[in-house]
Amino acid sequence: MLKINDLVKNYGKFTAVDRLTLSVEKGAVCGFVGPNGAGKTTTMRIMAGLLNATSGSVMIDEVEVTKNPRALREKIGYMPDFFGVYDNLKVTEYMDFYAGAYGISYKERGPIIDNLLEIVDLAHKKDSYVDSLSRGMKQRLCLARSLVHDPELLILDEPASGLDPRARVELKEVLKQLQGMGKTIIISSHILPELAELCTEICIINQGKLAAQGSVQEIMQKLSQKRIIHVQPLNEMDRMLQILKEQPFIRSIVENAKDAEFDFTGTNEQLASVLKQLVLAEIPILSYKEKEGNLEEVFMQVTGGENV
Amino acid sequence: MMNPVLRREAITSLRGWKNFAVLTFYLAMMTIGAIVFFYTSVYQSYQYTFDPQSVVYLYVVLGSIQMALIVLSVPALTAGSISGERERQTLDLLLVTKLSPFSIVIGKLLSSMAFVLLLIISTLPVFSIVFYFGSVGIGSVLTLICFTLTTAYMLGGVSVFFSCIYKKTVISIMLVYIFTGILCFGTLLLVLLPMAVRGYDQLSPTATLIKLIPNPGVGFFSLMDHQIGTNILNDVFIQDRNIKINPFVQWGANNLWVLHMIFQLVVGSVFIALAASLINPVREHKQKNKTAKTKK
Ligand SMILES: Nc1ncnc2c1ncn2[C@@H]1O[C@H](COP(=O)(O)OP(=O)(O)OP(=O)(O)O)[C@@H](O)[C@H]1O
Ligand SMILES: [Mg+2]
Repeated sequence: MLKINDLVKNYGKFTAVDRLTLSVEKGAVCGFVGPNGAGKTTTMRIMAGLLNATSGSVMIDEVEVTKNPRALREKIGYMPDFFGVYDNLKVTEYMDFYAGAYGISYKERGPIIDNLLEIVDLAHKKDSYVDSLSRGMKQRLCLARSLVHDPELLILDEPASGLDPRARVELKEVLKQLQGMGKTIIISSHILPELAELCTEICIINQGKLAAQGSVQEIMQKLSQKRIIHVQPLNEMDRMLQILKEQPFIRSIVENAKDAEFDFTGTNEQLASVLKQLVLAEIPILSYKEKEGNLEEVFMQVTGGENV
Repeated sequence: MMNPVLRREAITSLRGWKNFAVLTFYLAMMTIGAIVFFYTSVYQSYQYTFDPQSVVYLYVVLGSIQMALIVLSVPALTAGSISGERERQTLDLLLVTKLSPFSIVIGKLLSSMAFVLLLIISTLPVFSIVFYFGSVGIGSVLTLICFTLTTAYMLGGVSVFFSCIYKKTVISIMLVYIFTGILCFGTLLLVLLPMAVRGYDQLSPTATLIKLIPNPGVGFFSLMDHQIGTNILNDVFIQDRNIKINPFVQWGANNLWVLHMIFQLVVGSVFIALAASLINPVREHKQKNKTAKTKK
């Protein structure tokens, strides 16, 4: 669906996007993650045909964005990070305006608009003025607006910023619904965990460069060199710690009241053999498992904060 | 299908107070103009009577007030059209739709023009006084309306253009006024300076005529001159001179306003095209790339 190849964007001497290469399959939900100033908005504006790249290319369905931006606009729904609304315009009129701007005939507009307002849960606000809506409602209205021409690819720049936790959950529901409709979605955020459950893949960018790409699991495996193992004995804590301390690939054992955690740098076989030794030493083990990596930590690690 | 930008502007401006304020002010000025005219021409004359023939001058007075108001209000109405979208952060949302930059600009311009048309129509009752006395025909009034509209078109085009460049509406408005000022007084200087140096008789009538084409003041004067039959420009260019007059000057001296209207249409269109290419995010960059390459 989308292929970005060696994309570079310079603002004067400053390089905002630096040789970015990535591709997104049809039907994927790609989380675009990075700290402030990473170049997310810049990349997304280039995808949407609002900004020209310094070099490199963005291809959507094998067509270069800059070659034929008009034809591609039909395929792209874009929601910017910051946007405004018009005064003195009602919700349906607002939608009607953008439907018209996408060349949808008067006749077709009505049902499309009703349906979209239903999806983003704004049907009850149909006759309100858009500038009287709350931030979260405007955000959802803007999402509905970007869907008005039924695009295949959605480019959403931080759609969740400024939303309260409940609104975030609701937004996630809407996005899941859209994913179910077979749309390809690219969604940016600076909060990685927020995207984890929604996305089929994640791209982390930092200082304009691609730092990592893959599924959530892949990224965590690739990036967290140290694995944290959690072990809980029934009793005989001291003897267990004694054995663990003698193991070569175990470092920094943390002792809690009823369980312990340690960093493990060996292979899976070695990990299994540690458990075997504990069992052979007749220590009753209740649980022995690898702790799910912390996305937050991964993110900090990738984006520069090494010693988190 | 109606231009969506125009449609939206129509909806929102009917709900806003701004356009009503302008309309009220406009009508008030026209009415005051008519009242002052009657007061001066009736009560100041010796017989305390009123010569219906003099109503022709009411037409000139009303036409002048109308022109002045259009020249003042079109920049105020249009110079914030694109910068306003930018400030409100809605321009990107427009640019990602299937609307071309050209139709965005045209939509903005047409909405100003539509309002100008509304202003003109709303003043027709005041103009009907002139019809009532039969001093000026309907054809003349229609021609005056066309002339006013082409003026609005040019000023609107220039306003939209500046609106694409400057964030502050006030700066754009000032620049359009300066632009109008240059057209009025700059061209006049171009004629007066050589006249002061070489004398009136030495001026080439063709060159002088051409220099005066861009002048909206002279253009309007020429229209009035033509419509009420005073033929002052004809006298200035042809009658009082002994030199041979070519056919262009012969015709142009009586029809300078036609040339000025053509000038307005051309200039307006050029500025609209420039404005459209300015807000086109893709093309703007291509041009920059080209210039960067040629510099290297
Ligand atoms: N118009 C511009 N002129 C100059 N520099 C710019 C411009 N737009 C963005 N930049 C710079 O490019 C870099 C990337 O900006 P961008 O907006 O793409 O970041 P982002 O990842 O979207 O950040 P955020 O999370 O804050 O939205 C920043 O360092 C920014 O200062
Ligand atoms: Mg951003």
